[in-house]
Amino acid sequence: MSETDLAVIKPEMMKPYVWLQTSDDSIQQVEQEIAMFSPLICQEIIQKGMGSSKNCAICLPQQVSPAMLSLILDYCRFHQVPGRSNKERKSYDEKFVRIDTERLCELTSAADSLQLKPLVDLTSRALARIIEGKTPEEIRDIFHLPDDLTEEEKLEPLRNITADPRIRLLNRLYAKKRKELKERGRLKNVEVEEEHVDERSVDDLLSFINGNDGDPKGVKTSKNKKKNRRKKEQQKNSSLKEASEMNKKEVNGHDIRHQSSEAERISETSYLPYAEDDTFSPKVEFDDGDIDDEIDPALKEKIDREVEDFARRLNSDWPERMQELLSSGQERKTMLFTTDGFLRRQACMFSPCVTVFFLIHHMLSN
Amino acid sequence: MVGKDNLRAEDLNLCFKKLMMVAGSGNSEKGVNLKVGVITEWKDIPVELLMQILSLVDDQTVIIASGVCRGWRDAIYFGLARLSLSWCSKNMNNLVLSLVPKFAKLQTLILRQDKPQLEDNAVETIAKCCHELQILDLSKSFKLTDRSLYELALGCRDLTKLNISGCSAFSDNALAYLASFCRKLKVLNLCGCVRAASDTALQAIGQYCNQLQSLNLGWCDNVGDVGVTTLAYGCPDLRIVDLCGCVRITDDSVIALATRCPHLRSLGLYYCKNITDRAMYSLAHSKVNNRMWGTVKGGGNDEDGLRTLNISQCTALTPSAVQAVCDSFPSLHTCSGRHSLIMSGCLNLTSVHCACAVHAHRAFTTFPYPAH
Repeated sequence: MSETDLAVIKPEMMKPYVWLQTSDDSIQQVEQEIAMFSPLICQEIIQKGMGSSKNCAICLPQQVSPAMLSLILDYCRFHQVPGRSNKERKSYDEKFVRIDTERLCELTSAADSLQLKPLVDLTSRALARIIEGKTPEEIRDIFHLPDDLTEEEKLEPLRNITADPRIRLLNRLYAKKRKELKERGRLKNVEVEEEHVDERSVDDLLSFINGNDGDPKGVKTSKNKKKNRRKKEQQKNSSLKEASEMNKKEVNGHDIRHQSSEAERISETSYLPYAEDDTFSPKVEFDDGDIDDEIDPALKEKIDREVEDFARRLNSDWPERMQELLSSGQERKTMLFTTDGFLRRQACMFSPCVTVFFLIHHMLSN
Repeated sequence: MVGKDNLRAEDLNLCFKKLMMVAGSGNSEKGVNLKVGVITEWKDIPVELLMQILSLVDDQTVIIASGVCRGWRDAIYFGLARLSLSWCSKNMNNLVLSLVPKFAKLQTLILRQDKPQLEDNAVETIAKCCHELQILDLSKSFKLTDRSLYELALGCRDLTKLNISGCSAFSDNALAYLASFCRKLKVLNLCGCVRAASDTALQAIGQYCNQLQSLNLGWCDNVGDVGVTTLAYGCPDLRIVDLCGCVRITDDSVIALATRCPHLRSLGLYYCKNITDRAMYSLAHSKVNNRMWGTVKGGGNDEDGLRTLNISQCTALTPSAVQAVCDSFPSLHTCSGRHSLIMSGCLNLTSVHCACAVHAHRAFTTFPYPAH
């Protein structure tokens, strides 16, 4: 507070206490000297003459709860004492912000609304330390934030733009397959929906709204059907999942989550610009392998022919690359092509297009 | 709603929830407070406060934070004023292409590279999206061509600081074009831009960028007296000029700067072999002129004038001329720990000392050395 402001204060206004009203309408009596640390309160006292009695208490912003006001006043009381060294103040500040994140957030918000810049700076630094080096998921958990971004939006800021025409061609083929599968699935769903009619009576519906435990029968049966269908799908996909796991272990050589240093872990995540494009994630490969079972044979044959043609062109483009791969003495590469190696062992499970895709992925990753 | 034929369970749940809320049952989950007007969820903090917190973390974390939730994303996209991508060791070009269009209010963008990554399409994106950009660092972008400067000229007219040091592919025509549009430039770093920094470009800068305060022309060996003189006449507010390695310049350039730029604080003449005593006496004389003009205006501060002078490898200079400059500017020091008069490689100047090196309160002579 400037000297000119102090000069304006009339003697009768310089009372030792002021009355403050917090967000829950409770009124507290606080030493004026301490309260005037806040420019907001200071302004109310000087310009409007508020806070002199319980009837004209200063209404604090809604972010300031009694608990937060108490914390803020403790901070102001400590820093108001003139004889303290910088070391003491620093030590106090460090201990002061060692509170749980939720309270720290509230404190930051309250200090900001009271325009207490030193305290806002202190709590902001503490929050910045909490945020730094965290993934979006961790930040969401810490601050109880909604997960309202779509997967595309989450990956959007750091999507890599792939310029290689070969990769784009392959992406296009798989996109086409996925689209056709979706179309097929949608048609099936339409047929199912047409058959299903809600048989429930108005009484049943009202009892549901009123909160009765007895669920209408129709809902139960549909749930059971869904459960059974899910179980079947899980059994069907279990072999593919195993293959996916093996691929993760053998081809990638290590699991990202077991990285020792924080920096390495960060560099592996998809949130960083130099993270590899999602195009080649094993998940996509095996999903597409699964797709083949449901596509009619003629279409499957056509796509396989396209991919084989593409593979032939790829090999003619990269003969040296292939030669290098085959002749390389590295353990991982040898394993890939030996009789008891991973690819031969698993090849029977996938259609030719997935096998080719896997080969390409391996070549590019090397 | 109940009368609908195909009523789904989700709709019923929603209806049930609404009824419960109307009945007054609060939802205490995750700090949500349904009391009217009270904001207790952290997602509802003021944008300014969130931006203050994020200003304290590194740029990588800021980008990660933009993927946390919609509120944070929008706050960052519309509130972020400064962004540095210098930490990105590869794929910076792609990162610029995908990130920059989202940050509508960027004012500072640092894109320093150790190995060249940026291409013209990235700078084009910057020019099209960041119209409020004031500070741009593109140093060591060897891949950039004139197209980048043309785009910047049209898109970022509010630029006040531009660092294109090491961008050796730029031509002087492109730089002249940029100068004609970006007239608010105050700091320009052209160190190592051998093709771009020519007399033609400097004449354009002198003509259009009249607010220029700092110019680095290090190792631009195409720069001559014509360019520097025009610059001195056109930019009277120049404070820092680095002409290190500009081997073609002579005393005329220094005289023009000394007489026309009263606020000159730092002058780098490293390896300018053609500089003679005439230039030094001109600098010493300029101090007197400026002080006289200062007293007329009511200013006149001893701390004004040169604070840094680098005359290393200027072997044609004599001790008396350099001593004259040293005496004229009390802020120039030869004493250890405060080196601001740098004379390495000039073995004949070992006798030159600043005032505090000789004795603490040396009398200040008003005009001891006549200018030529």
